[in-house]
Amino acid sequence: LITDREAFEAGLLALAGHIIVSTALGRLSLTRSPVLMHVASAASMTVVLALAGLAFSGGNAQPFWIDVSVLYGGAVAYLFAFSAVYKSISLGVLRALNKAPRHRLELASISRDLVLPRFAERIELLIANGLVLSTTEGYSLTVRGRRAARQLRAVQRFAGVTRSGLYGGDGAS
Amino acid sequence: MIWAPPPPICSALAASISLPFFVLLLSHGPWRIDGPMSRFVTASVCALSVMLAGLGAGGMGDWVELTAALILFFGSVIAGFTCWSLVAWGFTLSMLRVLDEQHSLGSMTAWCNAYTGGQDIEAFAADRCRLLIRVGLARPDTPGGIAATPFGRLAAPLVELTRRCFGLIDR
Repeated sequence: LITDREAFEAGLLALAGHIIVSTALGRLSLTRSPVLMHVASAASMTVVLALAGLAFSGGNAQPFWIDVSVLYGGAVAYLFAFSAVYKSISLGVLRALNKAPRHRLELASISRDLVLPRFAERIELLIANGLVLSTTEGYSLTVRGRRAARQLRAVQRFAGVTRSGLYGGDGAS
Repeated sequence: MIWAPPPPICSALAASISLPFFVLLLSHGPWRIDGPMSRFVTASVCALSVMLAGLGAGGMGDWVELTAALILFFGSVIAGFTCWSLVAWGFTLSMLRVLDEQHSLGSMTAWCNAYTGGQDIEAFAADRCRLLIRVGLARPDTPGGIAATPFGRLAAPLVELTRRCFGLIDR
């Protein structure tokens, strides 16, 4: 019979396996969706855990929830850390501040060198995903983009979010 | 395999499931909390109280079960916060919504201005910098400038190291 403690350790081992696999996949290729890679890696580790549990317990009862809870909680925290450093503008600013002389930068240079390129990057992403159309007259939404925006508005209305991608709310100055 | 979760895990599951309901409850009507961050924090505290009530009623179990339950609950809070931050502050999604509201925008500058509610890109940069200031990683420095605090200078190499671990290399 597998004890609770052994199940906990198995969860930690599976988490270590997930970290190794998802990091290796991420280093090999970041062109595919990194979030999808993390989810796929965590899901396969869950299957490995369940199969290993069945094999080691010889078909006897074994605590499934303990190892899966450890794996799930750890995998989510790991994905959160990845998302934080992946494209965060704020952390990009922090890295730039650390490299700058006297660790300080003008807001104007942060806007020009760090924020504006990120803005352009996101526009490229929206265009590449077929949501935005770029013409000589400027930018407009494609049919797919309008549908996505409508769905987003519905989700925001449902969640009571009235406006803004700004942390400080409307018109932060 | 034991499919029935032990009592502490049941409490963690109940608390995790209750989290989005608390967020919704605090998003509308008389209990609405305006700030998205305070709303999520309050909802998380309510969910935590569900977990504590469950632990009180159903038993704490042994330390292994309790630790696993806590890991499960905090994992759910992090997952919930990730989804919530996308809905409330998501950069790319907000850009999409702004373009939908304006129908079309003539240039990237016009898009930036619409995004910041009529201000310029510096207002957006200031908003992101304010987050660093709020958590003590940076401080305002002479008019128009921002500097890393000692804590920020300590955290930046850690961010750099984490990026390297994930294979995120600047091109």
